[in-house]
Amino acid sequence: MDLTVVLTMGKYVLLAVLYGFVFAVFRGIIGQLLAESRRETGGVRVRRRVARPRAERRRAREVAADAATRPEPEPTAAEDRPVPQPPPAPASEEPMREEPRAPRLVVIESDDEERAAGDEVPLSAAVTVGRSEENSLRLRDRFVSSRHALICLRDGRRILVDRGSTNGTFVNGERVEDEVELRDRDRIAMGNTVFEYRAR
Amino acid sequence: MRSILQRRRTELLLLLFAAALVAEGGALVCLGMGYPVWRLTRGLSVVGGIIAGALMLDLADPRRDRWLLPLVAVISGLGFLLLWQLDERSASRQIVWMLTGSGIMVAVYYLIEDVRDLARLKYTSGVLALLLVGLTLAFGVERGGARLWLSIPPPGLGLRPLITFQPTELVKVLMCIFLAGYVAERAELLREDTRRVAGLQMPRLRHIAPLVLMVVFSLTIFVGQRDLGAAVLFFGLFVAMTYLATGHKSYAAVALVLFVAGGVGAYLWFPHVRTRVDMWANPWLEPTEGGYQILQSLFALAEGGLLGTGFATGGGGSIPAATTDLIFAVGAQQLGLAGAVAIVLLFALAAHRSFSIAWQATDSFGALLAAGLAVVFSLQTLVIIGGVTKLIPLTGITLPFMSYGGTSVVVNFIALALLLAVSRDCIPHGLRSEH
Repeated sequence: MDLTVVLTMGKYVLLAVLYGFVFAVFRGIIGQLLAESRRETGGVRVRRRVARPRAERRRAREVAADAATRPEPEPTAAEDRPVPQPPPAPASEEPMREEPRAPRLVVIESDDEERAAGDEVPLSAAVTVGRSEENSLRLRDRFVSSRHALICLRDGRRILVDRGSTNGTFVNGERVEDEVELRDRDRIAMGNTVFEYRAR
Repeated sequence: MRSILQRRRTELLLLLFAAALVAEGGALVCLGMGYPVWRLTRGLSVVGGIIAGALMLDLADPRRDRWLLPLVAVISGLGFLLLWQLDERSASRQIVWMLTGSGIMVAVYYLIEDVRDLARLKYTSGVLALLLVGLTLAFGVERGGARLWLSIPPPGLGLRPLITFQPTELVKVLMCIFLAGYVAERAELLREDTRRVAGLQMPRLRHIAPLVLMVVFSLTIFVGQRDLGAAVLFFGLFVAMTYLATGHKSYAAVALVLFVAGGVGAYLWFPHVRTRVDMWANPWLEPTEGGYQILQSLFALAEGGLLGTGFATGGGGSIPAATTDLIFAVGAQQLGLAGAVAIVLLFALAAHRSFSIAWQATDSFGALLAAGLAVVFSLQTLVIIGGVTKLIPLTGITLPFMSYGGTSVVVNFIALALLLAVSRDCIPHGLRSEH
């Protein structure tokens, strides 16, 4: 075969592979972003009435099932990690949920005069908690270490890390050894301060 | 565990994809240029270095970013394939630099246990940056009308230079560290302790004075060094960092005014700036001298057309600085608009990932460092691709990972290592054991 023909064909193959690569990365990144935002809102997505491709519809169904298998919130503290619940009712029969809100901590108990019960602390991607002023969430609590804990977002999951505090951090009554993933309505206790985590 | 494997699988598959792409291109180059087929291993070694790096980094932390390395592999592989057709000796050297760069990337990644430790080095890196710039100005070696090179030992001693490198490249990363550290520490002050000047919120001079001094100093030097690309780059970096840290649009507005004023001033006072701008406005004024570069570049783009004149034909070799600054024009000639768009997309995706890392970083220093590196990467790409396509005046600056050049390649890999280090984990190990 003529060399120029081979080279021309080769060039088209190269271009095709190049675009294939760009597309693969693009799709991957978009997929990751979607997965993160889905986890961020706790599986709740606004229902759309627009016709969607089958693959997406299937994915949406999976998400809905995932959201439904998520255990009901436990208002009481000191409960262990909830056990999976029996198969849920279809998602469509669930009552309409209220608008998802930004993740936050709600103060349940506090010694600090500036933090009354019911106060809300919005959570950014990373919040350091402790007694010293350098923390983004400062607690004036004698039993809280100066650098007590870190609450941060990792791959769309909210993680609480105990930074080696003296008196420990307790999530639902259990002492956090190293780090723990927070679920909606987890009770977080540090020193004499108790928060409730709200994912939405 | 499963999710970790899945995540790494994405990266490894994409890296293999990149290797296949470079193998195909390399085979074409061997065919087209008449190289023996065994030299295909050269092309593969460039990607191989990055794959080896990825595997080594993998053991450190499976959570780090998974898209940047494959993107860089394709960008540098493609750059290498173009370079290989134009200049075989440079290509061999580029392989050495690529492998060195990958090695340094792994080393830097492991050396930095906690990115926040770098914040303590902010003044060190600031002083080092100024020192490097000063040394270049005093002892720099001139190549191609600009004094950008430092050689060790310095020339004039009758010794053969052991190392020559471009300090500007290294200064980019040092400046990112300095600015990120300085701005992160004072973000509150810059944001809150402001005064209204002529309807614009401006910080007090004492908070911003070191920054302004630093910038004025480096800008003067770069204009003196005739390195306009670097001047634009550093100015952009400074503006982006202050804006990102404070969120005040007035900074950006003031900066824009300063930029326009500075641009007009430079045009009036510096002949070489005037040449650049005049050649941009009308390259036919001096088609064989000042306008030669931009004209050759435009011819290459035009010749490339929609699908290119053909890969592996050695086309585009007549463009000046084809292997370094104008490599994009070579790619556009050989692969046409289709290839050029693909290259731009690769850079756009890499920039998006870099900014995402900054967005997801857990502390302000890490975020600002990643953002600074992302700004440098994107600005560099914009300035040179914009210059080559005559969107803006052409200024000499390298296209990251694609241009030939030892310092540029190695420093880009260091920047990549820093980005990956920011991305790897939101909790540095040092924090856990503290009491």
